[in-house]
Amino acid sequence: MDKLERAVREAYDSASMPIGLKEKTLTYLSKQNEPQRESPPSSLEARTLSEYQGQCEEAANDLLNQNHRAKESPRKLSKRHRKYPILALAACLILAVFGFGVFRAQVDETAFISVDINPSFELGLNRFNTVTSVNALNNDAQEVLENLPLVGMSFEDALTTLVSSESFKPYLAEDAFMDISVVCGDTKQAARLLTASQSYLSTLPCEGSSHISSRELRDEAHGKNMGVGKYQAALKLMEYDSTITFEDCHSLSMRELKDRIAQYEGSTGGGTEGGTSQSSSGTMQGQSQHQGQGMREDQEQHRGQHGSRGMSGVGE
Amino acid sequence: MRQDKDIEDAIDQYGDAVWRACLLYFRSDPEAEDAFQETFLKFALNNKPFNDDEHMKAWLIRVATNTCKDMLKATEKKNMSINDAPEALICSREDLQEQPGSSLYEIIDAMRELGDPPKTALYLALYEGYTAPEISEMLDTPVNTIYSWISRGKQQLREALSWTN
Repeated sequence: MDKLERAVREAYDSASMPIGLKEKTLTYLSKQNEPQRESPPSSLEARTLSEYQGQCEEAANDLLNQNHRAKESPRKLSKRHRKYPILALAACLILAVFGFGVFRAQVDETAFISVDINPSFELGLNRFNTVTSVNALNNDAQEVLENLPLVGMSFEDALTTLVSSESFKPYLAEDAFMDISVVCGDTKQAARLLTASQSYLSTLPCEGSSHISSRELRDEAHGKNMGVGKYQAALKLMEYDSTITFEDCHSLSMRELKDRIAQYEGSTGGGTEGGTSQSSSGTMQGQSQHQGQGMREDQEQHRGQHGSRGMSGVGE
Repeated sequence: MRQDKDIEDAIDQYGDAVWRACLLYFRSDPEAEDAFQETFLKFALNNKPFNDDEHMKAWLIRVATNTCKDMLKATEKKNMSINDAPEALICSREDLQEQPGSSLYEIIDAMRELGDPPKTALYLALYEGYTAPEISEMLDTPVNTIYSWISRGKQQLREALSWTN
């Protein structure tokens, strides 16, 4: 337990439920159960009642407005000689919208693949898993990607091109570690990309992990000029050693970060991340080639005097 | 509605935990008391059984934080200014400094002043001792985001308390 944690615990240990609050609460709850209240409602009850009344009034007003609009808008009879130009215009509009939609589908990026080894870079993909952008996040990545025309390729072809490029091969040594993070709002697309990433990793001589991450985490990582995997590892390391900064982590490879984290967690080698990020659609997918005990030990360090607990199905 | 005995037992067992969660959001006792009572009203009206005591505690803390957030939003919507509120609702910093253990209140104040996120995740991690996966389930947020919030929250809290080393 560090100084901050100790100070917070001391502070909140001193904050107990005020004397008399239990009785006040039980009295309040018993009043809620009574069919009629003799005393005027408390500020809390007044707020609850007024909110409910407000919601009812709002719903009633909405209903009245709908009826009013229905009465006001007269039905216009379309004249015969206006029919065909209107149909033609509608057809043009539909085609324009459709064409624009197809164009947008081609260019809109719906997924981002963050790759961290020590080159850190990100591929933007459209909904057809075609690479639409390549973003180098550090100098090593810029050198690797300089002469690789990945834009326009399918995700799988882009990965194949990377593996076979001379500039990338040195980073795929056996003692290296590659982290692939998938950020995608579409669950099915995310699953396909995760599968493709895992297949890709299985062909490499180095160790690696792939997982789904959130857009929020990606934004935070980019704020630190890092890929998602490297950012997560940096956060983990900084939890153990508060003297380490993001700037320090920039110069470390994924392997070095993993090894240093493992030193604190007491396990050997890398690959401690279980990759349990959640996609924005709400499904949990944890996929990794290496799942060590480091995470569980980390959790145990933070339990302190509060002991173990079972957590399942928490919700209102 | 739950039995009176169950409600009373819950207040005895977890009243302090709920109260502390309310202090994360409200400085004044009346506001925190309102949130406290509202939380246990929701508990009383919720007939679903809990898996175990820890499940109940986690549920209560989560409901308390959500209740506090809803109350704060409602206050913002009504454009309540601090000058409009009765003096009794405002607990001034000077009052706090005269109270015993004011340095402890400084920490509670600093926690309250943090944004949310990361304040709730930070509190659950630092004080209640929940792990990031447990907090992830409570707050329905990806676990890696929770790690990020906890790390950011610690940094912000240190800065707020001027603990830069």
